[in-house]
Amino acid sequence: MINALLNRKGGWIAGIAIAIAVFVALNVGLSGVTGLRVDLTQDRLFTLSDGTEKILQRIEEPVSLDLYISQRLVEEVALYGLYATRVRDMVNEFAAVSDGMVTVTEHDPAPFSETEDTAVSAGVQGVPIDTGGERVYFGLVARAGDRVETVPFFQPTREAFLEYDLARLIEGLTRQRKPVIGIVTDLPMFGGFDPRSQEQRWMLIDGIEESFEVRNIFDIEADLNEEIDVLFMAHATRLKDEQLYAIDQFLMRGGRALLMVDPYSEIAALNTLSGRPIARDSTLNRLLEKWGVSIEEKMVVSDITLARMVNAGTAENIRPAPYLLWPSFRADNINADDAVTRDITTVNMGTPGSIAVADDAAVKVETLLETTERSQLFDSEMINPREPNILEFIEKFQADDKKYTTAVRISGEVDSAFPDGKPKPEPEPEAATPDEGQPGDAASDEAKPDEANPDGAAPAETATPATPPAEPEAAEGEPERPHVARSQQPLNIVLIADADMLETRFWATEQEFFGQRVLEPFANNGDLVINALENLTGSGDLITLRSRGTAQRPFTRVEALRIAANEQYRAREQALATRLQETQQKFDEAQQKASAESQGGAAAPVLTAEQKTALETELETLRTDLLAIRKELRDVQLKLREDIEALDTTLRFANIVLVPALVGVFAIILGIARIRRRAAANA
Amino acid sequence: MRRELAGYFATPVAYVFIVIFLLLVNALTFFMGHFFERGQADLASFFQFHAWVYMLLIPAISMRMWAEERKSGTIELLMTLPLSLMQVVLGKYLAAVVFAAIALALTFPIWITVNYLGEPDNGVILAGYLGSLLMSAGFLAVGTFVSALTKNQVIAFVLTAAVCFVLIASGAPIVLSFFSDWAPREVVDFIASLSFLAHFSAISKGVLDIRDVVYFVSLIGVFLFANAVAVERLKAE
Repeated sequence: MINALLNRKGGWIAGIAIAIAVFVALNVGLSGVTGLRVDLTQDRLFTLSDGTEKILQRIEEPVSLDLYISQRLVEEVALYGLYATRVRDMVNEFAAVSDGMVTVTEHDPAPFSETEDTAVSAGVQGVPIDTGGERVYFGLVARAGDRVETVPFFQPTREAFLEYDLARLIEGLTRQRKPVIGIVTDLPMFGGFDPRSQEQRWMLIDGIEESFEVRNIFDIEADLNEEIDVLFMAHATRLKDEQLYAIDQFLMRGGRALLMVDPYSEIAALNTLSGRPIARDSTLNRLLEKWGVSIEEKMVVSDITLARMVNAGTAENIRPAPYLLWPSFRADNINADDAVTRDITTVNMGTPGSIAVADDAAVKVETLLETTERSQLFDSEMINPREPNILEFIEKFQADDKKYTTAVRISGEVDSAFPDGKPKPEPEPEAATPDEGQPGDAASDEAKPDEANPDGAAPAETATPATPPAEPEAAEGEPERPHVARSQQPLNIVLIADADMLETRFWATEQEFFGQRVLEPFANNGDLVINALENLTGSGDLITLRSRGTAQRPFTRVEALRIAANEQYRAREQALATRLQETQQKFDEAQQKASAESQGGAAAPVLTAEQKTALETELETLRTDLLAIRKELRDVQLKLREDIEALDTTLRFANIVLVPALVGVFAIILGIARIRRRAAANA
Repeated sequence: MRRELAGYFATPVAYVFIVIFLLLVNALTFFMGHFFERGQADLASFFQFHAWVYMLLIPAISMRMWAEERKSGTIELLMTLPLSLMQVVLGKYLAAVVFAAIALALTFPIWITVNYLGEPDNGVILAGYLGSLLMSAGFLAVGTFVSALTKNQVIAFVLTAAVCFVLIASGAPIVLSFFSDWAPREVVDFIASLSFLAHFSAISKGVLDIRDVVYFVSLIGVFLFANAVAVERLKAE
């Protein structure tokens, strides 16, 4: 058929025209097809996770993403160049999956251009690249309707969380209202309950209010409703069965929660004097045990490697010692793969408890924070609340060779802890007996928070009235909700076995700055809480996103060489540097002497001719020494790089010369063999 | 095809080609691509030069494919063989592709090197090699077509190099700005999508997208078809 066409006059022109038409049609037709492909990368870098895809497919309002990438940054800093490609690919992938709801525009903000001004006004951060004052940009502005979210600067260190960050940004942008956090606490987080007391609202609450609407929940049964996105329980003590039931049902209906349960609250221990006693320990084991998780009551974790240094002496006689019950979690003890703990470098806790997970636990539990093996559990009775007996713990310490977990993420589907439905109300509070028999501060049992809370002490933004007549309202307004026996949606809970870490003194210093309170954090406790809340307020899809692989793959062998060389030569380098400094100092002194002498000022000591020559020779030797040491130092620094350079040379040789040479030799041998064969054949 | 392939290795041309290719690609990787200084365990600095090296060397393989046969008159002999036109065209072409693949495969030391230095993503490297092979196959299709148009090998070389250059550069901003002033957006987008570089760099990131594969395969198909037509026209003359 083809031949017939081609043999006709002018047929070949038609043939070629058809071929080109098919080519164009095929390629243009396919240009809109996305997703038909094989991702060959090891970590599936180009395949978005299901969670992200679901978030993107839910978008109802168009989202425009403006990516600001300075070409200069990309060209001059290789690390950022590589990451810029990664960010660009990821953003384009978002657009491809979103069915046209996400559009991407890339800009190169040239210095002093209009684009630069737009970028800066939208909150993209300029970073100076040289001393000339030119700034480079690598940020993103996302817009949906009149809402704007910005990534001021993409940090390559966050690469593993790039997908999570972008998905979170888009989800936040398409959300119509601020998520609501319902806080249940016995701690004076919202300021002192006693108007005479000087206690101020905790800085953490201010931080939370930047991104969330905060409600202080006093009446769990009435106020823990659908409007609450995340329940934040921070050392809520002496919970009655009905209250536990309300919490249980909230969680069964798919509620998320940040639960902070403390076997020994230091604030409570200190607070007994201030007129509003708080129970020292809190527990939710009644709920947790049903899932297979528990926090051992009244037992606190100690760790000798993580312990913070404190003053075990007096103010006059300072005696630094590690306080075993105050662990400071770092690097290896923080889960770097979870979005909650991802950027966290330090978490300081005060007398935390230990979270145990049963072998047959119904939920999935992931560790967020854990101690080292050099740790041990202590009975909280041992703690002296008035004067910390720091040294006693060191004396009694005996490592269990076991890691204790102090923070976890819990997910999964579970049965209600109240299989028989709502428990019968307990007798009136006046007649109630302390349910767990707490010694000492039994008076606090009956002190219902809402009764102790005077008008005006409640934060301004709290939606609930300060003293709500909750009981009748609940009875009239809301009909009894049906009992939920099994979770309607999987649980999403972050459980932390400490509440003291919320208190500002554990993680930041507060400064007065022209009448404003300014925080200078020295640990990431606040970030941890806000990360957890942000993560929990996200959709389930967002929560499932975990850290991803990275496109950064350094030459590990070169790194190893560098470290080895450093170790080998560093000591020598340091010794030389010290010697150099000493000699330099001597030299300067001698020179000063000499110059004072030459000026012959009245103050200058008069030297004899012999002394003068001696000084000059000394100066001369010192100068030679100085030069010699400098040279030696340079040599050492050179040696540091030598091994790496040798490797570079070998590899260059092997790649550029060796194989072509082998091919050449092979060709020559083959050629000679052929000539011989031919000669033999001719003969 | 086997005869053609054996034909490559029977002359020193093949070895010269392979040696030059290896020298050029590896030298560019280390000296211009700063492979070692980048400190990244990937072959980005290796693959980035492939298009340009091919532009220079592929015409050297392809120029003689038909031009020589025409000049020496062996083409008549070829046509008398009991083979269909398409079989002859495909046979010659595939021999050239296999030859290019052998040259490419001989760059394996760089793969060993990068695995020795760090922990590279070998999936990405595999994709890079696939992309590179597709690209060289594309250039070869262009070259074999051009070679069928002329008796003169030098003309074939220069023309092929020129067409390859256009195919590489069609995504470059300079070329696009020339069109973007007057042509509609769709046309500009299409011209941009013709760029070998764009499709190759998409593949060498580690993603084998159907659009990139179809682009190369359909481009090869068009040029081979045109090649067959050109040979057929010769016969008619």
